Amino acid sequence: MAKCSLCDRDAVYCPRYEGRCYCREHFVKWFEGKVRKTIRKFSFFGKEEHIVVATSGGKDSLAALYFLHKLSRRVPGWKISALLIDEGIKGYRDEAIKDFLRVVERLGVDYKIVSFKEEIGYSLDELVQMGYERGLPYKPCTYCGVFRRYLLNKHARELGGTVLVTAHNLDDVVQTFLLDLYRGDVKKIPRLGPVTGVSSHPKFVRRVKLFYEVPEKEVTIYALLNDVYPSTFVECPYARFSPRWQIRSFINRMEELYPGSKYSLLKSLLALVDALKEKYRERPRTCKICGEPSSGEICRACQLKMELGILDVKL
Amino acid sequence: MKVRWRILGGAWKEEDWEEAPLEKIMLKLGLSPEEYIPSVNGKVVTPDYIPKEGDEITFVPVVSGG
Repeated sequence: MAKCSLCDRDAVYCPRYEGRCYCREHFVKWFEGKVRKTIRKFSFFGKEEHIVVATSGGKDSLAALYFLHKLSRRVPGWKISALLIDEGIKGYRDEAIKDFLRVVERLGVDYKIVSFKEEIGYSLDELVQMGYERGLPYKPCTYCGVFRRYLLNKHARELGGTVLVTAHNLDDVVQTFLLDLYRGDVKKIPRLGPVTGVSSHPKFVRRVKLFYEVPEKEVTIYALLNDVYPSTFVECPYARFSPRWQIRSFINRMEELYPGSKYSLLKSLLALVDALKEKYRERPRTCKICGEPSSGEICRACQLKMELGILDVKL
Repeated sequence: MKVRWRILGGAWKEEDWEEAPLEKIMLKLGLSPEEYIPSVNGKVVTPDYIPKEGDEITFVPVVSGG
């Protein structure tokens, strides 16, 4: 079995793009060093922050919470909170909430759980059914993504958060990049930078992608080694409806054949974000219905509510 | 050589495996090393690990649940 390149213990991981191997202890040090480097490189945090971690109960967000909680012990000006959005997917989110509670209680982190049912009036399962009955062209991930982002921002702000951390990793980012390219959605590419909302709306909480430069595989190993990997693996019943599923397989196949492919995609993405950010700069606006930040006159959440027939307004 | 194995979230299976590195076995099982992490008797291992009689092997999915 492969040995650690830094000591003689059994390795747990050998990144092929690097040509080295790491044992459990050296993997954790190497991983945490990589994330700290990302934090410095993109100026994610200042010395005084209330960091709200968007936590789904999945491995990536629990790993993010664990890592930031550990790091915060060295930064006296940081407060860490966890925010979970329960969209209401029967048999899926219930399990994730148990894992979420196990980790926040173990770490002693303040947390808040917000549900679609309480805030939107319906669970995601109900919204998907309503959209289907009305003949709307959206996939489940559209409702989930729009309402989740809306609630994360609103509640991170209400918690007093100065920055909202999402656990998006390298794989998530390059998958979305390719999805945008396939859809011809070039103007969305600048949103794929490591930080969003820097100079935007006063109600918009600055958002950072913590694992921007870390492959999902490494986040998974970090979660396993630190006992924050969910107790069981439950796949979202809507996951396979998304074209992301096919893109993910394609990128993983390329990475197997050509190690380092994901980093090459990220390099191209960063160059494009830089080149396109002025051209497609979004002017921060306020939704004239709900008062939340929006890229148009009416925010996407209110638009979807109107299409679903659950928002009765006269404009 | 008898081993017990499963994909995390799935049922355990008991099978006779040839003596070969996990990466070769994963290939036969159709499991990409980019998408699954092997864990033997509760410890993460690299895919060049050669299973031993009685090992309990779990393949942990890298992909998120959703």
